[in-house]
Amino acid sequence: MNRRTFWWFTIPSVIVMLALMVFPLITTVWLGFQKLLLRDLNNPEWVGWDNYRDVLSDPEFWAAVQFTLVFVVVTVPASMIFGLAVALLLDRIGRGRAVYMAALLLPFIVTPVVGTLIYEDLFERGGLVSWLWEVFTDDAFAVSASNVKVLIVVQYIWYVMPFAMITFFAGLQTLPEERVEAAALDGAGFWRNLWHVTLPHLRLLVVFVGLISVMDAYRVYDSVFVWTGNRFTEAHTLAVYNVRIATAFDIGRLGKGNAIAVLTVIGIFVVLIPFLWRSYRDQIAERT
Amino acid sequence: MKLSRPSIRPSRIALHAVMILLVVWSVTPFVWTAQTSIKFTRDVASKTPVLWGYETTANAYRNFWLDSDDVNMWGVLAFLLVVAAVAAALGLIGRRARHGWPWFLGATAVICVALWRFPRFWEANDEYDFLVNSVVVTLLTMLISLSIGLLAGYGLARYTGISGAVILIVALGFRALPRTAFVLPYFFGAKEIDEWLTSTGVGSWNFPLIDFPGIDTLQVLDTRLAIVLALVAVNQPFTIWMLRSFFIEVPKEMEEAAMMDGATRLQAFRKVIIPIMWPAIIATGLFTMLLAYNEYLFVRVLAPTEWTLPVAIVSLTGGESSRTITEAAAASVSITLPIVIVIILFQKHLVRGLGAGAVKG
Amino acid sequence: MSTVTLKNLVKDYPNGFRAITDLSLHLDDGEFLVLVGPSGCGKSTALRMIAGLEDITSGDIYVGDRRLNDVAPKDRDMAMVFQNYALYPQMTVAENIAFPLKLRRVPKAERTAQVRQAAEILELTEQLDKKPAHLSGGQRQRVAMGRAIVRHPALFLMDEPLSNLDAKLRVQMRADIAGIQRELGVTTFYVTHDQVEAMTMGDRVAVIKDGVLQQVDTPEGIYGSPDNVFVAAFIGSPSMNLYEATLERHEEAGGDRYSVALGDQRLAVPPEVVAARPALTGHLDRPIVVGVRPEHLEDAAVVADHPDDQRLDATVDVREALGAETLVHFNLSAPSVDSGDPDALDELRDSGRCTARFSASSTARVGDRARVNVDSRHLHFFDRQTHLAIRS
Repeated sequence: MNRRTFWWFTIPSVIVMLALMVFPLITTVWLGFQKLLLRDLNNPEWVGWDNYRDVLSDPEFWAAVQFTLVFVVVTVPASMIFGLAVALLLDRIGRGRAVYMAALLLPFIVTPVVGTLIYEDLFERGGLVSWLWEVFTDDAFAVSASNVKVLIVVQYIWYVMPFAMITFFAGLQTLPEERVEAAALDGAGFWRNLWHVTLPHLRLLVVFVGLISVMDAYRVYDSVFVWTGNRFTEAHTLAVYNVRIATAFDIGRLGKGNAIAVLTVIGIFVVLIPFLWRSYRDQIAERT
Repeated sequence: MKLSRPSIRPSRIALHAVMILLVVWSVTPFVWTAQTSIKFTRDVASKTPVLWGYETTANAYRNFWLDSDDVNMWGVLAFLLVVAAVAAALGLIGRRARHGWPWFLGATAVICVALWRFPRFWEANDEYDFLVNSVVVTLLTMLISLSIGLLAGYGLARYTGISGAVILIVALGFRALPRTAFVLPYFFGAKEIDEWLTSTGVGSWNFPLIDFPGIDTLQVLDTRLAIVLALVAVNQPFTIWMLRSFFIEVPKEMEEAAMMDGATRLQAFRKVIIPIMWPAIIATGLFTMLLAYNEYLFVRVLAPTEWTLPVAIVSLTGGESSRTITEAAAASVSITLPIVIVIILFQKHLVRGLGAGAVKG
Repeated sequence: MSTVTLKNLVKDYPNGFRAITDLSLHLDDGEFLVLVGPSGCGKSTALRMIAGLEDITSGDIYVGDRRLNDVAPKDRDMAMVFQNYALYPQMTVAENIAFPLKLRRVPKAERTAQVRQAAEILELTEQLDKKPAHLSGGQRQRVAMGRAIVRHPALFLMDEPLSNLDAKLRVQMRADIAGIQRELGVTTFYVTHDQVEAMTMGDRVAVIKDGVLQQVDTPEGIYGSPDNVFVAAFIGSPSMNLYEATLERHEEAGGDRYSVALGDQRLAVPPEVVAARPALTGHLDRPIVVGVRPEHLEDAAVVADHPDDQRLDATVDVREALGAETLVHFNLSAPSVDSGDPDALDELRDSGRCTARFSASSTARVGDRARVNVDSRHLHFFDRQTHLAIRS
């Protein structure tokens, strides 16, 4: 395909991305240097690095950074290992696989805010878990600042595990039977087989799922917002903290909010740039 | 016979037992909520949960969706079942037919017409408008996202120049960005455009074709259009990567043969490539549908009143009364059911889509 | 008139690689020309440039008097058969064959008639309603042919159309395609890496290597008098045996005698052979390349009536009895010459390796010391530096 044809095919998408991604990103950076309040949008005022100084000296920001990092470090490996285990089980199921798969996929396809709401319901007063808790411990269970972080993490793993599961499952379907048989003839047991045959085959998928999971966990908003709302602010992740600062009724500080957004973007890119660079090399190599 | 996938060699019963435990872990909240949605308030409020033997009711559904207390819900259910049956029949014919898409379009049309006429038969609540918003936003996002994504995905799969690689990598970078980097400038930009429209008087022009119900002036903020544009944009990186990975699987000789046979590049794309891309289009469409239907943050910030269902449901749970617990449950079931049906119908495509997108991505 | 003329075609890739260098060719109306060469030699690129699927860096392509450089593929009036057939999987066989007609807005009745006619020629009538996925390899190949012939194009382009078939089917389709081409009389440009296809199908054969045209001639001409070492080794199976050797003149009263020194053995060359190639005398006592085809070697035990000085001694390494003949491999102590064919097996580059095609009645066993008759009238001589044939 020559260059001209290529641009004719690609230009609508490129225009959308330029107008609605590149341009807004530039706006974000620009707004990060402004003093701008939600209730008074018409009078932006250039304040230089003030917003950044403000953010970096805000203990809530550092609390959000800390919880976000913990959140990523716990949920990503947990959901991947859990997902791989379930995928291996699912791969051994003959009859009824479709039914199990549909049931296991459910948390992932349901609207995240709704999924979180109904999960939370189990822990509310009169909910199944809080009732069971009371039966066994005689104590009333309540969602509180001390346990909400754990609940957020557990519920997020519940929500996101099917993604790893289904991707690994799809990968297992392409594992050549002969390779498994050869390993079996060599007398490889389950763990050796997993380590020397299955995992090497899934290598690219593990990188892919890991990367997507890190991106998604890092920017998680919906479920954390539903758990915490405006209470439990110490359990806010970066995105929730960011939106709260920018849009909270009456105090909405758009300038500071954008400064947080810029810092968030920088954070993910520190992790991402080596990977992007490698993908770029791969792309170039593929082309010649 | 499968010799031995990496296996613990559990007996079949143990295997199924583990699977059932996993299913319990995964669906308990749904079962609990579905139960709550058909209970009377007194049973929900009881300190010890009433797990069985309770009296069922559709009150919560009626209260959430309808503006009247004395509606026979059997009538509504019958109406929905008839619509679903007709749509399902059309869909089944479409699956068998050689050219399936007019039938699928027909099925979609039946559902849309039913949605549109529903308030003529029953007085509906505001929530009904939010459902309509959800459907409109989802369909428009899928349509726009896929049309420009298919073109770009094809171009990126076939072009070997450096600019193709650059676009792909930049898009991959965008895929990683949080919504928060976009939602504030979108909000700010929409506000600016609206002020410009008002100040120039353009905003009060009458455009019959893009006239949204309940809105007298032309504006961006608080319209479905704003939500659709935002979703199309953030979905674009994913769409082009996924579709590109499918297009790469199609040998380029396919369109070259068509061009030798006398087709232009665009004809070859339309008549030869697109017809074999349906599984890819469905898979990508499913993910786009989930994204648009499930979106919360963009809607909340960009559309203070033109909500879609997720925002409506979250706002419902602010209070603590038992009445809203059953209603929220009914709302949750209502919003989940359509998506579950679609996913079950197209489960195979979803799995294959993840596999394909992943292996190449 | 569908003559095809390529003038000084050049193809450079963006990364600087030159795939085609200065390719000039002419096809007469109705001619079947086979472009043959080892893998990666640019033959498919040349074909795709004629089709319009690949940009031309410089040079011109004419069909008749019409210059086609800037004409879109669809307007070139050429039909192409691809290596992987590129059938449209969503269409039936009939729809596949009718597709080019549909694009030309041929009325439906006429379309059906032409598809039926093409299907009859190709024996596909039973398969018309099937999808490509339900066809065998040979049937798919014929559908691809059908899509090409139904249009009556000015030129057929075929890109290794038989390479995905098994050996038996390939032999049959070889004859079928050549037959159909002769019947329709459409000028055909056929690309392959298989020299057997080239020899059996083409009116003329063009040999290409590393993007450079080596020789264009009839199959007999190419086989009988190859222009250079590469063509000599590439055409013919088993390959021509090629050695570095020295031509020596022995002056005698009854007229000069000549012989070739192959390692430590000497082979007499009849004076008429040298007389036919006066230029050879300029290479006396200097290393040249000498080639002999396997069929010009015979077991001396079978044909005893042979001049004694046109014989070589060698130990048999491998013996392959093929029934009608027996291939015998042995080692000459003379150094072999690398023809530059990238597809050649490395073991064949072993120094001194020689293949002979003996009569089936030969009893030579592995390990035997055999006497080998050399038909010196059919020796080939090449310049050691340029690898060009010494013929004049």
